Amino acid sequence: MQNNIAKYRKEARLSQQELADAINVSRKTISTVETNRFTPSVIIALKIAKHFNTSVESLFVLDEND
Amino acid sequence: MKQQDIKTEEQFMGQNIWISLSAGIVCLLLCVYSLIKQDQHIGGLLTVGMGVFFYVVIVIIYLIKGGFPLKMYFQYAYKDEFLNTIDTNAYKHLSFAFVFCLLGVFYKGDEIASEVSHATMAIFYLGIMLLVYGASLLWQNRD
Repeated sequence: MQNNIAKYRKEARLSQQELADAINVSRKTISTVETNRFTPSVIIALKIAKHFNTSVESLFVLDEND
Repeated sequence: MKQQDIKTEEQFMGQNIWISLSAGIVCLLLCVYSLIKQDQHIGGLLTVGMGVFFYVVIVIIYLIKGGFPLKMYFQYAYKDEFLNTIDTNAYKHLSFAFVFCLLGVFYKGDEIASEVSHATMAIFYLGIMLLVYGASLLWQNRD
C-alpha cells in the first residue's frame, strides 16, 4: 500500500513531529507510515485524513498485490 | 491520551532498549566467563561480582534519572499504536530466539566439552532473550 502523507504534510509545511502532535501519535508512527514500514489503524488513518481535510482514499492507495 | 504521554512512552522505550541490550551483553559475558574459567578461584569471582554490582548500580542510577512513574514498568501495553506493535513484534522475535537456542542446546549441547551449570544456562537464556528484545526494538524503532 502506498500513501501520500508525506506529500500532504509537506504541502501543509508541517514537520513529522508537528503532525504527530496534532493527531496524538508518536513521531515514529508518522515516520514509519510515510516510509511504508508500518500500516496504521483505521483510527489513525481517519485522524490524518481529517487533519488534512481530505479522504482516506486520497491518502492511501492500494497496490495490485494488496 | 495526551501527547505528553506519547513522548514519555517514546523515551521509556529508548530506556528499555539500552537497558535490555546492556543487560543481555552482561549476562552473556558472565556465561562466557564461567565457561572459560572452570577453576573459579575467589579472586576471579570477586572481580566479576564487583563488575556486575557496578553495572547494577549504574542501571539503578539510570532508572532513577529517567524519572518515569513506577506504573509504567508494570503496564501491559503501550498506548501508542506503533510502540505497541514493535513491542509485540520484539516479544515474537524473543520467543523465536529462545526456541532456537533451546533446540541448539538440545542437539549440540553435548559437543561442548565443558561442564555448564544450570545457573549458567539460565543466565545464557536470559541474556539471549534480553539481547534479542533490545536489538529487535532498536532495529524496528529506526527512522
